[in-house]
Amino acid sequence: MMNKNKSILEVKNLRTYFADGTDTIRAVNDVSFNVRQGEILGIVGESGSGKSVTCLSILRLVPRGGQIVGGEIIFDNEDLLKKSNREMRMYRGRRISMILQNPMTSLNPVFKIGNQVSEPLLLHGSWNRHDVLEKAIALLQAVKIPSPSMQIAQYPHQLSGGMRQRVVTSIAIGCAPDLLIADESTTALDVTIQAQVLQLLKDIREERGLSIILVTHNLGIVAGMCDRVAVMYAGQLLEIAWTKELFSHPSHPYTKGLLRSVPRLGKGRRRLKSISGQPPDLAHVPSGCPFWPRCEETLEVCKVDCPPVTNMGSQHDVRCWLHTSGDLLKK
Amino acid sequence: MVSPEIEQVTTGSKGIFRRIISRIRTLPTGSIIILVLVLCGAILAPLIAPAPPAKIDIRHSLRPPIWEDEGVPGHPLGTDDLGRDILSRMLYGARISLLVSICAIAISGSLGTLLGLLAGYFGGWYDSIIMRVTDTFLSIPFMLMALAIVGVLGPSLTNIIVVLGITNWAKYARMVRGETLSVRELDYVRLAEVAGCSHWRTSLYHILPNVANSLIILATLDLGRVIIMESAMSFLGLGVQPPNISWGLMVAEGRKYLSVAWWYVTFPGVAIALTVLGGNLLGDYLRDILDPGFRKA
Amino acid sequence: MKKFLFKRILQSIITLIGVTIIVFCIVRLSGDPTNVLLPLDAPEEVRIQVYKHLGLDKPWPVQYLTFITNAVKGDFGESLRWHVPAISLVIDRLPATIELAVVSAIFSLLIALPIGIASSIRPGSILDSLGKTIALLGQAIPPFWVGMMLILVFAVNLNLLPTSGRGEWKQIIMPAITIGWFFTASVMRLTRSSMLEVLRSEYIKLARIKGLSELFVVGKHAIRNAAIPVITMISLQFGAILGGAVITETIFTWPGMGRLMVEAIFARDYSVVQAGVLVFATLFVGINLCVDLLYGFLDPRIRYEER
Repeated sequence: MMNKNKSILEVKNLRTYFADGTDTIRAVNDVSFNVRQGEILGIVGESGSGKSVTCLSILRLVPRGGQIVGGEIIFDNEDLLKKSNREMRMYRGRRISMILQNPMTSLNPVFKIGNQVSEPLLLHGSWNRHDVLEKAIALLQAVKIPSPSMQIAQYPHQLSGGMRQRVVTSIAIGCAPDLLIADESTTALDVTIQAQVLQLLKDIREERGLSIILVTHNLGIVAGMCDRVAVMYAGQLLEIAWTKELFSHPSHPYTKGLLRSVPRLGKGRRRLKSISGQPPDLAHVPSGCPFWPRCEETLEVCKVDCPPVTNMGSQHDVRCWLHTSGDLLKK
Repeated sequence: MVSPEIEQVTTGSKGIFRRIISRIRTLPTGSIIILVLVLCGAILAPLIAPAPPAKIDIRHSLRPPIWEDEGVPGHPLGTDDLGRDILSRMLYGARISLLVSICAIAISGSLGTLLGLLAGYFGGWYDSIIMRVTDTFLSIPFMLMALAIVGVLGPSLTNIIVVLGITNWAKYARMVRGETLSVRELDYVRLAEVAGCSHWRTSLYHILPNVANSLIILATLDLGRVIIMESAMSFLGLGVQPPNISWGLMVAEGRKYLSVAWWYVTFPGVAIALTVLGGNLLGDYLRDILDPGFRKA
Repeated sequence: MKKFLFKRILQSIITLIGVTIIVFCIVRLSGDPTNVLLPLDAPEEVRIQVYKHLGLDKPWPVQYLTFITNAVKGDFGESLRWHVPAISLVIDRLPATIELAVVSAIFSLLIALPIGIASSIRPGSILDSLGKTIALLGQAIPPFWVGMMLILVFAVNLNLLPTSGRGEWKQIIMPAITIGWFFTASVMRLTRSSMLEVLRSEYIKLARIKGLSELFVVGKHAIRNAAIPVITMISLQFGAILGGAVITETIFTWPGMGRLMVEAIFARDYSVVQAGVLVFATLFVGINLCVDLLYGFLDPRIRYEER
């Protein structure tokens, strides 16, 4: 029985920094959110907003040069940040899984598909070498790959991009994880294939009760797929809300800007409004709210202090001085 | 209204300055110093050599370097069996080694570039034929061809330059062809063709400068290799011949006296190693800053 | 795969033909062989006779064909110096050279591969710096000098190792190091950079995401992929090893083909030079072909045509 209110993942005040010479890059700067059982949480943001690093931090696979310097990641009542690498390996692939962006390069070109799909099964599960191929075929079937018994003997380069992404998905769900992180997993695909893969994710969520974090910069995908959405910018989480709520009543100026810049069909002709300026260099993030240089509704306090998180209603949090209660605004 | 502080915050005017400083810090100063020293040594040899390199002085034959007991002040690095000063011979040897190497690289570089440009630019039959020939040359090991050529034509200074030039052109050709192929599709080359530039003009003015970067890197990295090949051939007696001096030749001459005069063999070898090292380090550095997409073992 | 094999064999044959053409042309261009064979004051008729006997009066293409057909049969004529068939001299010395080349290659790989891999796993570590230094020095210091220094230290000063001859295992140590020196450096460098590149790929990331231990990630996924360019390079470098044999055999008086060639060159013994060059080339081409087969086996992208 799915308990829709129980959180399976709680990220609290996560900070992941990188060292670049003498600079510190605050890729993830005090980010907090949760993912509930069976829900699809979208994380949107521009390139460099910290979305991918957040996901990698959950798996404790931060790239070289980076370190998780603070916070908690509570998964199933355990703080993942306190685990050793060996203990983390028990989670990876088995309890938490991830799909990467580029299907062309996600699969190892020198091993057959069957080999790669069965690998996590052999590692984490109780299948032996003989049964595992059957299980692999079943998995490929689950992701709707035609003639799976033939495909397991193929090499990645013999498959198309869409098929490869399905294979990668099947690897990810192989050990029935509780949480699946899809990092821009459809960006490199054709639109039609994209739609199929996304539908696949939705189906899997229905069938298996899986929770999904969907990282993307495409608001259209968010609207169609996600239950809740988080908006990230320059390493910080600026707003998080139910999808419908966010689209209809965005609170943060950045969110408003993002929504305005999406072209809409049939609503009469309007100019496309983009947000002026560029995202900041993460080594030199401006003080105060990171968005203030591009914000159209800046206040003086924005340039000085980072706004605290304000709750705007059911499940709707925002980090913005505009919405902070009166007495905090007094300088 | 958008804040005017945007510029400062988002483009980082301090960034450019920082980049220049970091470039200077990573300069391979060691290798540059070495190469400059070798070059100066070669050019200024007549001025700085302690003694004429061919001057025979039997009284002082096989003297060790100056810091050892038997050393003689006029011969800082010792003397050879005929009493000739090792340091002077090394300085003059530098001339020959550098001369040979640079000429050889010039030959192979020009030949390779020309053929590579032809193959890449015109494509079609030119490309196929030139590439077949290039592959054949590339797959034949240097020593094999060198032995074949020198073996029959006889060793001499000219011959060794020719051999080195002829056996080395293939990799330039292949590289230039590759670069030409990719540059040729670029818009401004197309524009030049549309504007009516002749083939010559297009290739020389538009394509060649783009290839220049990779050429410089390849030539610099090649310097070391060619010096080693020349000294190896001279060592075998198949390269530079006496009375010309080459470092390789000196090592060969010193071989006979290895057990009694270690300096005879050691110093020329060190010279070769340092020069090659300098060339390689410089080549690596150039590759890093000029063309990050350049791949070579 | 078959297509690949066919293409490679064809290429090998073309290369061999190319070598024969080069050798043929050079020899013919070098001048009149009768000058070498006969004393200077030999009468004209004798000259013409020898000319005809050697087939030098026929047009070049015909001469070339004769040369080729003879070459395939192994007939390169007689050694001018020793008056035995040139080919027999070469074949006699061949095993010694092969022994030296193989031992050096194995020895070098045993050192270069582990250090290359280890240094890529921990870039910036002490092991990495050590590896990089060895690689730099290896490619800069000329092999013949290494040989000399080895002799100086181990034979002259320490009196530990013999400087010449073949037979005891002790005698192969210094020659093997001398040839292998350069090879070790190149292989180490390439292994390291190939591994570094592979370790950056997405599929390695995915392997980690699956929960595989580092050992598995490197040992199973990374190495198979990194090996591919390294193997290609090894086959190319083999030519350099054979070339290095020439020098090493000279320094250590190793009774191999290389030394024979040098001596033959000095003696103007063309038949031996030709025979040696062609045997050398065949050996080289053959090894390349074998390595390419291995390469095809390792990389399935070559084996199966892309759809």
